[in-house]
Amino acid sequence: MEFREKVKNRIKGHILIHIGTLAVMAAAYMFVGERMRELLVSLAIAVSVVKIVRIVSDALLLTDDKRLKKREINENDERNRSIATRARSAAFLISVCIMALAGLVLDYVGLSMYMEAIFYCMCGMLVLYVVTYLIMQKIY
Amino acid sequence: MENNIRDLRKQKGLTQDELASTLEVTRQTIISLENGRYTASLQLAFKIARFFGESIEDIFVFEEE
Repeated sequence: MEFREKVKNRIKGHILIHIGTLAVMAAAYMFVGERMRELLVSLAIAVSVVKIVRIVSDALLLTDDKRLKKREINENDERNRSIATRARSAAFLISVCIMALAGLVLDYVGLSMYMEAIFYCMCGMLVLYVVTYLIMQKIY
Repeated sequence: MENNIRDLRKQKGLTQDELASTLEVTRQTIISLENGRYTASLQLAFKIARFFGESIEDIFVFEEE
């Protein structure tokens, strides 16, 4: 697919996500308790702002061929992709370590319920990693 | 991986930016390649070799660890 078409599809995706975010905000006001409402609304506003910036940025990109080409090269550059993969990998490892530490601290201070939730999340992430690894072994 | 990309580029009178544009990579990738901090994929190595009209072995120096 030509990169210009890719950017156009991306703009459509951003618009859909933005609409979805507004729907979540509306639902939060109508159906959710106050504490959860504040969290969801804050999150929805943050996502909305990011999406609006992305929509405008991508739309401006379509008007400038030189910048569009530069963005295409940046996105497809193998070194940038390699860096992104390594960063994701490191972030995953660090997240698991932080979650383990947080779980231990929460248990120590007597918040066992939260500790359990964190450890279940952590186990889920590790199981997902193993499953993804096995699937990719078959594919590649 | 050590390579002769910088020398070959200068022989052709190209800037890093011009070489990057031709190979459709970023200038940072060319800088990292020339400094030996990044090892090109096989695809990129072939592209570079074809551009300079040399073989891969003449451009990239493979050192066994």
